[in-house]
Amino acid sequence: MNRLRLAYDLILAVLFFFMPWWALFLLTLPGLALYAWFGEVIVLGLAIDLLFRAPASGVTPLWGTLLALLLLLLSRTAKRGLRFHTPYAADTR
Amino acid sequence: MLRPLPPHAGNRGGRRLSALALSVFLVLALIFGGSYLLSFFSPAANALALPLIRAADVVREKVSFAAATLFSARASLVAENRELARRLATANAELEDRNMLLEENRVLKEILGRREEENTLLANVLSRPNRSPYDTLLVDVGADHRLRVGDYALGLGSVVIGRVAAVYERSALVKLLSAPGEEQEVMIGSSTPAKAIGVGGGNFRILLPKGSAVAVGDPIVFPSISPRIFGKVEEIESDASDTFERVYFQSPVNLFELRWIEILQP
Repeated sequence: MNRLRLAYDLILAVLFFFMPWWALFLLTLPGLALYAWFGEVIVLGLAIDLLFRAPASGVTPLWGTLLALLLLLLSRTAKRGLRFHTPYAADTR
Repeated sequence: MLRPLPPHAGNRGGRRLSALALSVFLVLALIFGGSYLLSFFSPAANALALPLIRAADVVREKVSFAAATLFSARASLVAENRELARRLATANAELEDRNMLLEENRVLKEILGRREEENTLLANVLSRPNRSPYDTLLVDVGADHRLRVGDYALGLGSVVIGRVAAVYERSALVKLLSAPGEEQEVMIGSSTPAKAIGVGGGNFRILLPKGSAVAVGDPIVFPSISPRIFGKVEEIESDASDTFERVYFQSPVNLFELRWIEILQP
């Protein structure tokens, strides 16, 4: 189980340098559905913001991280509402 | 039927409340503290990721070259097609530039003797708009080449496309003028001043009073001592009930395939 997650993370990390930002978020959807807490999506959003967002004066929302947070919270809320969803044992420990 | 509460049910409400408070704090920090977070962590993140981004750029280049040569019967056609498309885009930009310069030449004959020399620095584009959601370009020159925030970036040698927004040790972030909400003073033709507003992906919108002397095809110029082409009017939208008309145009540079840009240095 952990190996699968590690491989998944590695693939996401490599694709980060090759794929458009929206495709990366799409690729995190299986992880968000599969794992109880897929925090990697936050790291991805933060990396996009830190590398590509130009600092500016005034309010500068980090949309990438906010989108990642929203996806994570939505996936958790949706999973709680699903009776048949059983997170992997490794994640619920 | 009533069921007994689980052993930690009492704490659950408190835990939920603190999780909610933490989430609210996090969201507010990401909205209002974004600028601080970026100025603290972006240089380090950039320094860490730059070698990987450069390596990915090389790999991408080699893979696309290998894919082209794999189908060798098509490869030459593909290469020729790309080269011709690139030349055509450059020629179009130069032609627009030339028409505008002819007009400028006529106007400036009166002020002979005034010369402007420009230094430009060639930069390799490491990431383009579809990789970043912010209409920014990551380039491979930075403080090591004396880049400064505010320097203008040119595409196809003469088209203004953006400004340096952040300078790191060996890289810089160029914010495109077409980034949503970005405003830029421009001149339509040689007499109509206007404000171009970026709408993303190399597209712009200008709001003008109805009846302005603007027509489709008019050059849009970036005003300076040596004016540079910015685009040309592509569509004018006007509503009978509206006192304004909307002018739409696109940068002549294809930002999604940009490999090199020049940075104008004072």
